Amino acid sequence: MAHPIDILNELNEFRVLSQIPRKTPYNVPKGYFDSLFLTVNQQITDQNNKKNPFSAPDSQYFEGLAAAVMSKIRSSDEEVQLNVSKENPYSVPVNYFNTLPQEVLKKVKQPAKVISIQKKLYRWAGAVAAGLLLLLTAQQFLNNNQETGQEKYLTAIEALPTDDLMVFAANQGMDTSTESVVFLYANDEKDTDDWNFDIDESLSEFSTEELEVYLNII
Amino acid sequence: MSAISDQEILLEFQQGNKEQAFTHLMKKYQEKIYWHIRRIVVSHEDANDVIQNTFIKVWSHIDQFRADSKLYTWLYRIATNESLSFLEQRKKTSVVDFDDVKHDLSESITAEKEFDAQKAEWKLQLAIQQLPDKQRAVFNLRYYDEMTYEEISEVLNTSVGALKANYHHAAKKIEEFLLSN
Repeated sequence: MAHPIDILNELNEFRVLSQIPRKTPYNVPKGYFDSLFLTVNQQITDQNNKKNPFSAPDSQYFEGLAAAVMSKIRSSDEEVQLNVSKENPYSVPVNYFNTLPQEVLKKVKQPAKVISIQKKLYRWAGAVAAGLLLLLTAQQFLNNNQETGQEKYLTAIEALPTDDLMVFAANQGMDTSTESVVFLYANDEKDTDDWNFDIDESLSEFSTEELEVYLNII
Repeated sequence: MSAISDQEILLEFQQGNKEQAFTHLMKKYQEKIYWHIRRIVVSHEDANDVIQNTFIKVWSHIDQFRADSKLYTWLYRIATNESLSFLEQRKKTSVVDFDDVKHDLSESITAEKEFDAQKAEWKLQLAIQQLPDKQRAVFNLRYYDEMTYEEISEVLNTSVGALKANYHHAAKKIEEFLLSN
């Protein structure tokens, strides 16, 4: 704060101004400053109320708020712990899940060995025909070129189409389903050329009567 | 009981005794601030509105007060800004021009119950109202509130040199007004 003398000395050059009493001529209502503080305080209260029109449920709300929040945080932690205890206790080999997709894909891509039923039947037909031919030759040799009825049947069978032979085999109780043929082939590691077909055994399944009946049917 | 210091008031604010600190602040400065405002806006009713807004702002912004300025110059800054804003607002809402607003202020002075055209102090008030806003504020702060130029510099955020020039121009205009009336 400046010294009053400094203020007046500054104004020495202003003859009229420097002679005027340095006081403010205004008046204020009686007791104004006594009530001013209360008025301002009331305005601040009103303004604060305007700022926030909401009210807390009760005066204790904020005192208990921190504890309530902490309680919620703790229960949340417990929930997390419970979730952890629910984890699967079993384990898998290292890298199992990394390699699993490749393993599965490898297996999926590997084609099943499927053999057509027609190819299988050709084998049966060939075997049957070869067996019959051998049998006829032997009989012819034994019977000195006597042509029997069975010989005629076998000649006729040899000329049969594969489908007809298939029907015949099925009628005789042989399993000719695709699954069965595939299974048989899949379990036979031998090459087709090494397939050891027992002609006598095969022929023994068919009697002369049966062949005759069959030929009469078709 | 000795007057509480600004440092003690600020300490009370910092310690969380906001209402007590505010009470001490108002009791200490309300009259000084009131007269500062009154000399700018003239009428008591207007001064009453402005001082209430001033202390409400003080309450709202006391947390932002920085100790790099004096508490009372900070109060004067808010009061000055509020007073000049009040007059500015009146100019904007008034249908009359700036000169007429100044005329209104002069009329307010002559409308005061105790106004006496023969008394020099009333003539001085009429002369002060002829000054531009900034010069009026500088003159009042120096002449009536006896502030140093450094303190006025804090209040008006103006250099000391510019304030000295402003004060000199204001005193010169006032002298001319007094001589011609």
